[in-house]
Amino acid sequence: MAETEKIEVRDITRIERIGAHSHIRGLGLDDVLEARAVSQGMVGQKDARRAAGVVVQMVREGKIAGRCILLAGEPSTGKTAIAVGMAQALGTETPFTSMSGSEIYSLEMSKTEALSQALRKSIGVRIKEETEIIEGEVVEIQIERPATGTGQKVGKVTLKTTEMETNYDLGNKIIECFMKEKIQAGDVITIDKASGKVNKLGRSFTRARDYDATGAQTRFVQCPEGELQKRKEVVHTVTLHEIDVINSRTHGFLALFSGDTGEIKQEVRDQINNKVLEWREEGKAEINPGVLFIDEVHMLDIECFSYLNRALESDMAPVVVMATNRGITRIRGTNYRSPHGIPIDLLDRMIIIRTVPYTEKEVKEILKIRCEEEDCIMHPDALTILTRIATDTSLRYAIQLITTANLVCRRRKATEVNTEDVKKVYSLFLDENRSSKILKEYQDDYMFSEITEHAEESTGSGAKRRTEVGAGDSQPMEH
Amino acid sequence: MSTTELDKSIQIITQTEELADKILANKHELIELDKRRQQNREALRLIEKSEEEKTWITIGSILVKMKRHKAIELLKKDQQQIDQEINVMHSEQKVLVNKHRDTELKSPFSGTNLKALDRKEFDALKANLPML
Repeated sequence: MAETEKIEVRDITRIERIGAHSHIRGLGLDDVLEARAVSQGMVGQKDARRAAGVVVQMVREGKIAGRCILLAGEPSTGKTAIAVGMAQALGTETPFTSMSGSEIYSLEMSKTEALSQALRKSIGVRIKEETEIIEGEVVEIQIERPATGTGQKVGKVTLKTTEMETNYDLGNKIIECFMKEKIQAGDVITIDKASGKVNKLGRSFTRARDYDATGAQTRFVQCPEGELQKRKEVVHTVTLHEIDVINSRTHGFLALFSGDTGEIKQEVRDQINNKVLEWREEGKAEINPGVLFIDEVHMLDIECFSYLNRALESDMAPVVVMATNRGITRIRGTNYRSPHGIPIDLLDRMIIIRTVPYTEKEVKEILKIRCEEEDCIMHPDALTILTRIATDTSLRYAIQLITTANLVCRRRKATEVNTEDVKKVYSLFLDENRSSKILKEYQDDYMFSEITEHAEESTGSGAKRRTEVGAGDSQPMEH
Repeated sequence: MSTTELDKSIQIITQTEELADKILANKHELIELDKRRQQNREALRLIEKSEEEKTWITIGSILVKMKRHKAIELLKKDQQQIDQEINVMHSEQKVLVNKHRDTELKSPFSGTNLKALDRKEFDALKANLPML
């Protein structure tokens, strides 16, 4: 964890839309997994973060493959934020797949296929490539070709590094390679020992003044150091899903980019499992179970839950982290009610991490971080008002107001968002409460008002229900 | 800082320095070995090409005239031994580097204890996974 905290690489050349959780860089824990109050974009939620930190630590040590963690809590209490933080804390080595519960409903593949692809995307396989290469600067090259033009060519090349120098006799085949790459004295090249492939790295700096005119594509490199014949070892992590895709012949690897992988046959998966296990047995591969995060897990139905139950028992299963904001509600696909909308037998396998609503102070801190993330300078008074709005309505709504208020502020050519701007956008854009209040008042004027009664068979959370009856999310509305 | 703490930090520093020294020395030796390997290879090549019955070779510091096939045998044996030594060095180096990281409280490089995948298998993967 210390490593990820020290190095913070941020790409600034690319300007993108700013995601809702783009400010999160980790879980904000110290070395003994104690949560810092405000760190790495995380605020409050200390117990949940600590728990998530323990999970991350265990995943790193490879201790809890095939377990299940449930993040449960009210809407906008930072469940997804914690999952994003976990992904960041795990680093790039460990595969982390994030999906939403509703993603599994697609016409192209069955629900279980989508789930099993997601599960396999979250399992990494570490493999090593070893190559012997000869790397050096060409000092001299002689190629003798027969006068007839065809026939065997012979040649000699002298290669050097900063430390040593040696001669190689060249055969017919490698001469072809040299000619194809147009190798000449002063080039720095590598030769792959196993395949004999010649690769030009560039021209040596010491030869930089050989010609007055050089092409723009000429790359100048240092003369290599050390031994001429080097051993290169590279460790790669691929996911099981990637191996699946390239082996399901009908699609080929291009499917990896288009995402159009279709269904992968179970036989292919079994074969790959066997091969990977064989590699592991021989010490050629390490299995690196990652994390699969399923947001809005109550959207899964009973078939998916029982599939997950079974899949978690496999010896190549990732850690599954789920998040839900539902209380006791109906399990999709059945008429039974259960806590979080998850069957009891699956709940029994889970460790449940609870997120609690943010306090006013924490909300203010989050809003402050979001302001920084969106390059918005806000007057302290405006921030106080925004905090007030957040506690009265919802945190998400308040975060939306940051962007809009910033735009309003820029329209009047100011640099700092003041209270007026916030008030203006507050009146311009309705929050969910006000919107539904208006709806109730003018219900009769809307179309199809008679069927709203029918939808009122309430199940679980009231807040969600209201938006479903209403016009969807708090969208700008004219009045 | 109390004396025990001081002792401890000195101990840690000496330990890391010793390991680092060893790694550098190994690196140097690897270069020397490769030099020998290349020279040997050049010699082998020359003798194999020559048509004389007997050739001159140096053993240690003595110049000896030797039968061609015998000289080749000798050089090949030498070459094998050098290759072996280089292999040993490489694996030793890996252990040392990870030990050094350990003293610096860093986690070891992942996958160092893996065996490399077969050439054929890896080429197949590489051909299909452009990100490798």
